[in-house]
Amino acid sequence: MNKQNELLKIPESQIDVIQNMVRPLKYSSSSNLFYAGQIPIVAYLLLEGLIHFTKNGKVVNTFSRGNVIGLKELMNNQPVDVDAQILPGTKVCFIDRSTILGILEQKVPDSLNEVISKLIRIDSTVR
Amino acid sequence: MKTPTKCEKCPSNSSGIFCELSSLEHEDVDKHKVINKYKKGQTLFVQGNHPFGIFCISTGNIKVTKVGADGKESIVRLCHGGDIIGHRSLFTEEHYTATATAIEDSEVCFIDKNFILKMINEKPSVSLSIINKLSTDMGKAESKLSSLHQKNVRERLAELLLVLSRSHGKVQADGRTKIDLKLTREEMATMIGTANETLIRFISEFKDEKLIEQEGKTIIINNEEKLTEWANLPY
Repeated sequence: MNKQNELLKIPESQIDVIQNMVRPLKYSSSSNLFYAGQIPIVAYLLLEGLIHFTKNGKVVNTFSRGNVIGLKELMNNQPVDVDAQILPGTKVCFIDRSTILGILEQKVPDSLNEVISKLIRIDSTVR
Repeated sequence: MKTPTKCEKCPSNSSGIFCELSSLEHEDVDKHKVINKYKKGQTLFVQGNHPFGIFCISTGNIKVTKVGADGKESIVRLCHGGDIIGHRSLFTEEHYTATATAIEDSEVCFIDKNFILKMINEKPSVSLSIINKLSTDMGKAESKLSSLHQKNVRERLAELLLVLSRSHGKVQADGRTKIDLKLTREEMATMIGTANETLIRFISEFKDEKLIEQEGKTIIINNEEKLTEWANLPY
């Protein structure tokens, strides 16, 4: 795994916190999460399986458990330059903008608030 | 944060679910929505996936299709500016029962479930707009069902052309109505529950009778009165 992907990872303890906030879902078949030129409509926390970033049909990055994808792009209305494809059997949590704004608006910063604030500064697509 | 297109400036604002809101309330919607452009053929959501919000069409056309056990795709609904999609699955907590695909380059806003539920609780105008959309969709579905049961293919095709003329028609200087929507013959055939070959045969008949004309894939309605007669509308 490359260094950028490590930066997009959240600690195991925070994975449990997010799983309690948003119900995890498993994809039974391959599907496009977003296309190049679009803003992700939610951020994705990967729990099991793999998500590929592809460019012109070629896989340019692969994400695994603990990676949060699309957070910075979602919160900054920033389009991505890759397609994201989720593989069959992959389990993810969808973190929508309202949930993220709710976490960030908490008056007393906790560890999840800090993790999300840090991740908002990291691009998902830089390799 | 970059500023997305404001709801107030949306070309479909007057027919959308947020049209009754104040400027201040629109700002709140702007903060929570994600606006995207979908190229022709790109999917907004896929049958079987889990819904996590609703899609509000700003510009363009989206087809909602279902794939049957035989793998054949049929169009169940055509949506355009001001329409919302994905709301039914959101409220029933079911997985998407259909796939939404852009049939031309379209601009679509996504609003997450938490925010839309908050709006429904707090703003009666939003709830009423959604109920209105659901009721309209149900009315259309009922009409379609009765057409499939009670009408022959000729009548169903005439009715489809009238429906498309009302939803996507542009009246030209000579009084004829151009249907501003490029559908393939196969797509049209699935909309009236017939085979491609049968549809082509009836389109030829409509052209011979000077009811319609074709410019490439675009259909122009020449004689709406006669088409209404052929559609055998109840009233």
